[in-house]
Amino acid sequence: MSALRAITPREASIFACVTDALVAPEPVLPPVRETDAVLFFDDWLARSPVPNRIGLRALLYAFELSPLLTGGRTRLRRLDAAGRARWLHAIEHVRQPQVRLVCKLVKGAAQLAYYGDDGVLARCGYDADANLRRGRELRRAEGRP
Amino acid sequence: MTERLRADACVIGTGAGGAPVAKELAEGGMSVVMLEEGPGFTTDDFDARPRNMISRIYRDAGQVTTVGNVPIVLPLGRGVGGTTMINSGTCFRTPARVLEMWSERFGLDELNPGELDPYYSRVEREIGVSQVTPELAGNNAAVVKRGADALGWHGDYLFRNARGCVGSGVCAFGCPTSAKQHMGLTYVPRAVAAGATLRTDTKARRIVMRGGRARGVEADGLSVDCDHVVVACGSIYTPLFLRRQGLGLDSGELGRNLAIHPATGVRALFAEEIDMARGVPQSYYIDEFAGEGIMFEGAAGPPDYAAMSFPFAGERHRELMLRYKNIAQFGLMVSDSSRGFVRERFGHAEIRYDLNAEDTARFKRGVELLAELYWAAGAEVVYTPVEGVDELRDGELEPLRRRRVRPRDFTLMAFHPLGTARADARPDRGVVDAGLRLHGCQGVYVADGSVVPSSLGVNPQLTIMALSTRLGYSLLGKDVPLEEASRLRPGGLAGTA
Ligand SMILES: Cc1cc2nc3c(=O)[nH]c(=O)nc-3n(C[C@H](O)[C@H](O)[C@H](O)COP(=O)(O)OP(=O)(O)OC[C@H]3O[C@@H](n4cnc5c(N)ncnc54)[C@H](O)[C@@H]3O)c2cc1C
Ligand code: SF4
Repeated sequence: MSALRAITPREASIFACVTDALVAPEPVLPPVRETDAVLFFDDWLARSPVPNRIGLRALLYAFELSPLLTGGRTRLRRLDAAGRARWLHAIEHVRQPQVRLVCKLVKGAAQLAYYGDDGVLARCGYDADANLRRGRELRRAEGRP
Repeated sequence: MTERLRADACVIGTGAGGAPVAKELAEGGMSVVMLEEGPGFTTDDFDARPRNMISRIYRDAGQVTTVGNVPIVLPLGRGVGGTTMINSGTCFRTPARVLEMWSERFGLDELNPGELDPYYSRVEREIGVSQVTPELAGNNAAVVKRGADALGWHGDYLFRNARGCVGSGVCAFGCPTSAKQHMGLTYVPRAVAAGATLRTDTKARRIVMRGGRARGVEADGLSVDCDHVVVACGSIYTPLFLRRQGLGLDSGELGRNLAIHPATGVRALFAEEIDMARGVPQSYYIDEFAGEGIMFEGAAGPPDYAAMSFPFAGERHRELMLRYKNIAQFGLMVSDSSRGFVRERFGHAEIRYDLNAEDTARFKRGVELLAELYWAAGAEVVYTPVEGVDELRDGELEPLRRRRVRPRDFTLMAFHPLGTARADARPDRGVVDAGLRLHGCQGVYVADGSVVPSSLGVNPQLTIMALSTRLGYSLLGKDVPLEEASRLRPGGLAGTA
């Protein structure tokens, strides 16, 4: 994790945990740690406007602590899979619409980060390299810019 | 050291608004400097991966969002070609009924179909507008067409600015085949070939005014002496740029009247293979309800793009993603009566926009109609963007109909910000006149989405390019060549009597 630019190793670990809960990978899909989801998230934050970066990093800590705030006994990263699933259900159904909106934002970021990994894309049936190759060949063959 | 250039005209921004006027002026014999805040991406920079492209070529890594009663993601391009680099390539002329309304409400009688026709024709030729073929449209369009045909709704294949498109499905993330004829592949290189100077990674900071007229532009590391300044920073940044230097304030309308064409998507599961990543993502439209301000257009893409827009999280989301190849998605766009505004807050653009009750009702109706269409096409499950009614089964529509919806119940995006420096013939009602001259100022013009005074109900790039081309000819003092009348008519809408 030494290559991280915008987040700390701890934040990276929280993001991986949140992503794991949000995408719930099963054997046909690789675990989050075998993808580049965290590295993408770091790079994405490095390219983000400063206020967004600060906000998203703060949100990670809020997520990490949220099980404690809702009466649980431990932080998000210490929950087992069933505990995370319960946590996910709880945050998806919180009453405050603002909180639900914030969750939607993080959900979108995590799902984009995970499903954009080449291995995951391939499992879903999309071969980005083949698409790119076809483009390059066409450009070469037809003299396109 | 600040570099100093001398030109007849300086064009700020190289998107749909800036590029055409720059090219026409350069080809017409003027010396032109183009300033672009973003980099000059080439097709080699596009990697056919939506996730990476959103982060690298979208402004603020794709995080531009409105604030208001429902947050709306508003993607913008930043680089040579502006937002055309990341758009879907759909081309519509301004509907005649919209031009009529502009004449009545904004005194823009000059902007009538007859006057604009040669400019549209010229633009359509320059960017290679043609209609998508059924073979390229993909299964995502095929199922929607099947549903529309079964219900007797009018629709057709879209017109697009693409040459040699092979349906690789990632137009909004940088076309990897150079088929999409965005400004960075067409107008900008043609302007340069005609002698224009292009400076990338160069943000314009201020227009130099003396004696009530423009004398130049100051930008990062560069100063341009010129008599004509065309501001084309797009609907979000043009009003902020002008306001910072006290220009365009007389009417009180600068930064106001923001229309965005808010949009959402409805998904459906089919037994047959759809594979949204194959075919032109935006290839078909249904305009049966255009008279109600509701337009349906294709919206598709590879799995990572789909993942962030699908409903659910956890296991249910995974199950859906594992059936990605069987899922169809179609977009619905509302011709909004809601209006927002932009202003600068702590050095950043704040985009305020509240969806009003009328538009909220339109969204509800639009989602119902798309669900009905998917049932008619043989869908097994329909997934809506309405919180609390994520999933419909067995042809049901009632849960949706019964649901009382609020703006925040929808997941929305918007792609067409317009109106923040609106054109109006009267200086006390608008920021520019019908010729795009800034009221009360000499030598300053605005040529981008911000001058479009209302929602169009259709995608705006052709409108913006035609107005920009018209400005070019007006500054040259020449008539646009009356080329053979175009065979194309990308614009006549059904349901808009
Ligand atoms: C995903 C997506 C899909 C779309 N699909 C379609 C479609 O299919 N059909 C359609 O008609 N429309 C579509 N649109 C909308 C269309 O692309 C835009 O309406 C159009 O490009 C707007 O043109 P513009 O000139 O106003 O702004 P832009 O094209 O955004 O150009 C503005 C340029 O100005 C630059 N700039 C800003 N400030 C400065 C400064 N101070 N100095 C120098 N440069 C500056 C920016 O970096 C940018 O490059 C889509 C938009 C999106 C986001
Ligand atoms: S469908 Fe593919 S080839 Fe065609 S314009 Fe879009 S990205 Fe380019």
